[in-house]
Amino acid sequence: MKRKIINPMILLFAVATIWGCFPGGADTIDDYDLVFTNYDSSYSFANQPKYTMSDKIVLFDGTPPVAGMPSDDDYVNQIYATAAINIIKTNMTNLGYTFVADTTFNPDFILLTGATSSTTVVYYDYWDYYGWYYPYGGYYPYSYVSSYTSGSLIMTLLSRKPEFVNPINQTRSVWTGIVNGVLTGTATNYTQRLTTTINQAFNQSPYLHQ
Amino acid sequence: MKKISLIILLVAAITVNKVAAQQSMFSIQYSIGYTTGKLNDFICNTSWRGATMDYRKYINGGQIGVGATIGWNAFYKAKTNTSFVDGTKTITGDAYNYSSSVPMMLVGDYYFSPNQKINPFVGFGLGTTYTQDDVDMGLYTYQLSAWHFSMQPEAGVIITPNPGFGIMISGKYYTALKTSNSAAHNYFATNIGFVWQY
Repeated sequence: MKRKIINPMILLFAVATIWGCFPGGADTIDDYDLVFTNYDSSYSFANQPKYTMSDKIVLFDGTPPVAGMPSDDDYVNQIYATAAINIIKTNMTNLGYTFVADTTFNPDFILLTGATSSTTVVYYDYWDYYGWYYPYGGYYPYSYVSSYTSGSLIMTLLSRKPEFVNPINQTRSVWTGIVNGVLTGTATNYTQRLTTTINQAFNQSPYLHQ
Repeated sequence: MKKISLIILLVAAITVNKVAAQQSMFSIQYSIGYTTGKLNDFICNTSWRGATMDYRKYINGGQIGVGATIGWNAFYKAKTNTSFVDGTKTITGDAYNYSSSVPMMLVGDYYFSPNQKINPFVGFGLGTTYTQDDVDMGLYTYQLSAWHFSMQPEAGVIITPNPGFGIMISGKYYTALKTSNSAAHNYFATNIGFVWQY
C-alpha cells in the first residue's frame, strides 16, 4: 500500500523537476539581431565633416559582377536600400557630418555599404561594384567578408587622407559597422529593426563625433 | 472528531516517538539556487531548476553520516541590448546567459537527534564541481566549461513520521573555487525532497 503511495509521489517530483529544466532563449527573429563595430584607434575623426555614399547597397551573394559592369541584381532591393541609407544618413548628420553628392565635392570620408546574402567565405572587392561610382585616381577599397551570417549589412568608413590610400588600390577602413540580420524577418518590421540596429551601431561609436 | 484525531496522531508521530535505528540514508531533493559573487554578476536570477541526490552511511549509532552527494543547478538570465567591449571592438545584442553546475562531493554529517523523528544535522562536503557557462548572442554561442575544486557546508533537518521514509529540508552553500580560465561559481541552494532510511 505504502509503495503505491510513494511511487506516484516520486513520479510527481520527477516531473516537476524536469518540467523546469528548459530555460528560455530567443523567441523572435529580432532577438537574434547583433550590432558589431570596430575602429582605428590611431585615427582622429574630428574636423573632417564631409562624407559621401552611394544610394545603392552592394549585395554580396558570392558571384561578383564583371568589374565595372554591375547589374541591378548585384544590389539590395532599392526599397530596403533606401530605408537603410536614410537611417545611416540621419545618424551621420546627428554626429555632425555633411553629406556631399560625390567625390567632386572632396569629401573627407566615403561610406560604403554592402549586405551579405550568403555565409560563403568569399573575397569581395568593392571595385567590382563601386569602381564606376568613385573614380578618384584608381584607389579603391576592398572588403573581405568571411563568417558574417546571411543578411548582414556592412558599413565601412574610408578616409580619403592621402596617407590612408596606398598605390595598390586599397585604402584603410577607419570604422566598420556590421548590423546582423537585416535581410531577414517580415517587411513590416524591417524598417523598425533597421532603425534600431543602425542607430545602435552609431550610438556605440561616440568617437565618430565631429 | 475524525480531523482532530488525525491531527493528534500526526503531531504525536513527528514529535515524540523514536524511530528504529537505521543503517543508511538515500535522499533525492528539488533544489533552488541563489547565485553569489562572480556568478551573480553573470546571472542574478534565482534558479528554479535543480536537483540533488545524497547517500549517507550512518556510523556511531547514527550520530555521524558519511557518504556522497551529487547535484545539478541551472541558472539563466536574458540580458537585452547588452554590449561587450574588447579593445576597439564592440558587439551589442540580446545576450542569453546560461550556467549549469554539477557538484560532486564526499560528505560528512553530524546528526543532533539520531533515530528521532525530527533529526537536525550539519555537514560538510569536499570534492569537485563541473560548470558550463554559455552566452548566446545572435546565432553565436560562447561556451566555457571547467572543473572546480569545491566545498559545501550544509545544514538541514530530516523528518521521518514513518519509519524508513520522510522528507529532508536543507540549505547548502556551494563554493566552487576559481580556475585558471573560469571564475568562482558560488551559490546557495535550498533543497526539499524525500528521504529513505534503511
